[in-house]
Amino acid sequence: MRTIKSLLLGLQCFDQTMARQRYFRAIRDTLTLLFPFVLIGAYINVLNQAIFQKNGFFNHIYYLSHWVPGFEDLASYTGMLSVSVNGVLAVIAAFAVANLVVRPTNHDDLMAGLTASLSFVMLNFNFALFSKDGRTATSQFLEGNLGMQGIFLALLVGLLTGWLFSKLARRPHVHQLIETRTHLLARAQANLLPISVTLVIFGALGYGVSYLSNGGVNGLFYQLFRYPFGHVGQVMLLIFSATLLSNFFWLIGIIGPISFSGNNSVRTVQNLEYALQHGSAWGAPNPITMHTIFDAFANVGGPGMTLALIIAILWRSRNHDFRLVAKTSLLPSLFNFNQPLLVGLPIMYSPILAVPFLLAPMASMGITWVALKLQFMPPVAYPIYRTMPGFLMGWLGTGGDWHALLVSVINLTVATAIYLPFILINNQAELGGDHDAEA
Amino acid sequence: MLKRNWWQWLLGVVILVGVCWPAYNWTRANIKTLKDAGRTRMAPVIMVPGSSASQNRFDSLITELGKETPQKHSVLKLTVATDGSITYSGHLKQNDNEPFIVIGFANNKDGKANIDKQAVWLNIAFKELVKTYRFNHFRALGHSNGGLIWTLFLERYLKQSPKITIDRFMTIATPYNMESTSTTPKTSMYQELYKYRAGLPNSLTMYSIAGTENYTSDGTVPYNSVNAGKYIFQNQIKHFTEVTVTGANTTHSDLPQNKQIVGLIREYLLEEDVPNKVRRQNQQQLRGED
Repeated sequence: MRTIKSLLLGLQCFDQTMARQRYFRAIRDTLTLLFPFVLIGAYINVLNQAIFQKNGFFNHIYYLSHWVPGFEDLASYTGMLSVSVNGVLAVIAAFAVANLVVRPTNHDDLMAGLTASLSFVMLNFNFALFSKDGRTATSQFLEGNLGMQGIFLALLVGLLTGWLFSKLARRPHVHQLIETRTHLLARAQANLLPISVTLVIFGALGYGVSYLSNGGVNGLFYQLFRYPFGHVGQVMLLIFSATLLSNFFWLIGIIGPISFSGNNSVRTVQNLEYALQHGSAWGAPNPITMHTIFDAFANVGGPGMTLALIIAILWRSRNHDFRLVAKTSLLPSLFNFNQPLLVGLPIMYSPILAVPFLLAPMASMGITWVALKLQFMPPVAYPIYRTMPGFLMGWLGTGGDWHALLVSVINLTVATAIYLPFILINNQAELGGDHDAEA
Repeated sequence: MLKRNWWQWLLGVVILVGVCWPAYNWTRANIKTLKDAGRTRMAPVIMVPGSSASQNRFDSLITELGKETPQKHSVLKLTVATDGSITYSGHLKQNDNEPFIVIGFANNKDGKANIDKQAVWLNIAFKELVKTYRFNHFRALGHSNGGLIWTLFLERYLKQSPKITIDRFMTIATPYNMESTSTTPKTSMYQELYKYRAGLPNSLTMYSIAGTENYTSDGTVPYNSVNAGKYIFQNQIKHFTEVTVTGANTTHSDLPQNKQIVGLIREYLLEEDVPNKVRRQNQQQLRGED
């Protein structure tokens, strides 16, 4: 017990030391800065994906599309909101990181931010436009990379831009409350070198990468990071390590090489066919898959069992910031959108929350695996959808088997227990500095 | 704290139930939809005539059905020779999802030994049809001994095509106890059907129609012999309904084209959306049974 405690305290210390480091701090502050936008985006996602979409949970259970007037219009409207709010978050992130990196120095943080945004967008240019069959390319930029998916790259671009600015800017920047043309032009002059160098570097990088991947630098990332998940199959150890890796990627901002594997893999379809023919999911041919273990039981509230984190915070945390973020993120998290938590607490780039974020899904998968091996419940064979409340997925996916619901509840309880010590240690840090080592 | 927040807890429980209950209903409904979607669009109505009747036995019934049914059914006729080879006549229209297929036998003589053979021949023809048209569910109609052949087939041979299910089964004046008028059934045909009854598909919905000219018979098949069918089907299948039709054209050979029976076929075998007039007439017959 004592060793665990000192381990936790050590982690807490490390967390705080990291937070004081300039570049790391810029990342964490950026994430928190993004929180309001991500939060609004998550509520919009709930509206759009859980309510006004064909496979949305509420549309399914209340047959909304049959009786809500103007369902289609609402679907388009919320879809527009979702794409615009969530779709360009990474551009803001690139701006914010560069800005926050440069701000403590006496250089021009606004220019650095703007340059980082431009550079990031440039890295996501769609080179297919120039190919021989360029007419098939429908847009000039790879919009898919500009949202949450692009956060990792945006952070990198922002950091590098910030570093370049703090090295290359010629004159110190003096902040003026009321700008004048003369001063703005002086700013331009002072920052011309870092602006051009940054743009040229990232331009060249983007062009170089276009020979390797047609999805831009981000596409290259995803190709690399998705590689380990190609052939996960039915071996529990592989499923475990794939999930561990995937959740680690979420922590550093590479969102979702395998967030929710969906109902379409061959093994899942085989299970469904079997269940439909035999009238029950018992004895389905592939009981252990990514879908039956991870999707249905280790994704409650989103990757990392984050609904459990919210429960732990609301129950025991005395950290006012944590409580605020947890309260506001509860609703989206019920439908497995945990991005507000990732950036709000933040979980991303937080050594102390990273540990339970990785451990909790592992525990859930272990429990689920044992329950399946002992034939305590049938595997999830019927379709489940992304926006189903996580703790109902097992129950609904087995066609209403109460054992599966019980396993989900046990998973959630265990995950909460895993998060709890980390919340308690945070409480101590909140209450008072260094003497908590004796407490 | 619990006291102060009791209404919040109540609200939470109400919301939880308000989500879980419809969610459960939805998932059950979804599973049913998926199950139905797994069925082929084509589902033929396969008819087997009785002894001494050719594959043209149902012509007048088909004409009769054709007069009123909303969709035209194309007709394919098969004759199975004693060596199991099949000759075809007629053809199925491309977009006909509910064609009529009549299976007759070169040797269509009466008697248990012949009926046993005819069930085997039906199986040969059935497998051939499945292979050609790739349907996975069907409806079956048997007149007279045709009903015995179907029952034997369902008991013993349908298993050989494990992915195929039968939607509805109707027999018209089928003598489950052959020509015996006894109420305590004993003929060897009956005993065979009774012996293999566990093989009947559990989910089967079936209708047995009896015609009566007088109290005891339609002139050929004794009512008690038709009535013996219930001992075979009861407790084995999901629904068993027996209907007795009396009045004009209720002699044995007239039954298939009898108007009342055509109405029953339309409503219960083909599950057509029949006019109220037909529905009322059918209900009167069912009530008369009680």
